[in-house]
Amino acid sequence: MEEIKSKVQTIFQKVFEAPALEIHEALTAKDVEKWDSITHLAMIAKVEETFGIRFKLKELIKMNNVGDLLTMVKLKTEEQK
Amino acid sequence: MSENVLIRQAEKKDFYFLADCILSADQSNGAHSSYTQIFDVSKEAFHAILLQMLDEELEGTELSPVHFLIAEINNIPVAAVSSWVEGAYDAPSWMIRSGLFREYIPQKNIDAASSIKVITDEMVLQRTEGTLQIEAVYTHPDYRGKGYASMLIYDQAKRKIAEFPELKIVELMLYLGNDAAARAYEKLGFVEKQSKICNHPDVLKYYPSLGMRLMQCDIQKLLI
Repeated sequence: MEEIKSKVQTIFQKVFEAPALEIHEALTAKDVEKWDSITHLAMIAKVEETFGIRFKLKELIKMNNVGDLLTMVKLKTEEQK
Repeated sequence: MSENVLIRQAEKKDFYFLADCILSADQSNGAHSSYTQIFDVSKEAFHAILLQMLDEELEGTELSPVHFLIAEINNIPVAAVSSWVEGAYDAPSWMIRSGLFREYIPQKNIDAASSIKVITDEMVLQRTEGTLQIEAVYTHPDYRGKGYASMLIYDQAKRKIAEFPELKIVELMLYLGNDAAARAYEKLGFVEKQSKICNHPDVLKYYPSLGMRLMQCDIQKLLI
């Protein structure tokens, strides 16, 4: 999970133009200035590309925070093994 | 006002009309809809995309048919308004909207939207959680001036407060420069709470206006 978190943090820092951003499980869009509908799409696309996964629509909608995102990434990467 | 007006919930047969409403409401009194310009998609293509999004029947955004009320005259839909309580469903409306965009808009077109983020960032106003959102307000041009939109907004407020008794505030957004709409909303009791102007020189290539205005109203004023 730490490796997943580290990679996701790098993605967040780049997409949201926040080099000092440190992600944590409770982090939501309200906490990050440039996290809106367009940057959210860019972030999701980058996460999918990085981990070689694809989220379903219903999975995307149920992600309430970064913790949910990390859990889903872990689940999907494990499904592929 | 015609006595033959029927206010009803939108149904699957209305999806084509709802897609018209969403696009036309967004176009406002401008030359084009921001959806088509931001995503670099033709109006016809985006209309088809909207039909697919509506077919998901998700709750929580204006892209959700379940939130639309329609005014119908002699079996013809003539006006529509969407309304939902922000944050009352699976996710904030913008996240549900994003998910639908991701699902149905080709990646190259999403990339086109990302490339003008510096403009879209300046046009975003945040919706207030727990407020009743009014969106996609549209009346066919042949039926304007008869109060159908106001009638629909009233009906939306009445239905939603029955479902969410704690509701206090109604909120809507409109483009700056849409003064006729702003005056109509002021008559209903809406006041401006926030506005935003985009100073980017290319803003009018993508949006019908230079900025956005957020208006709010006490729900009890609408229900008088």
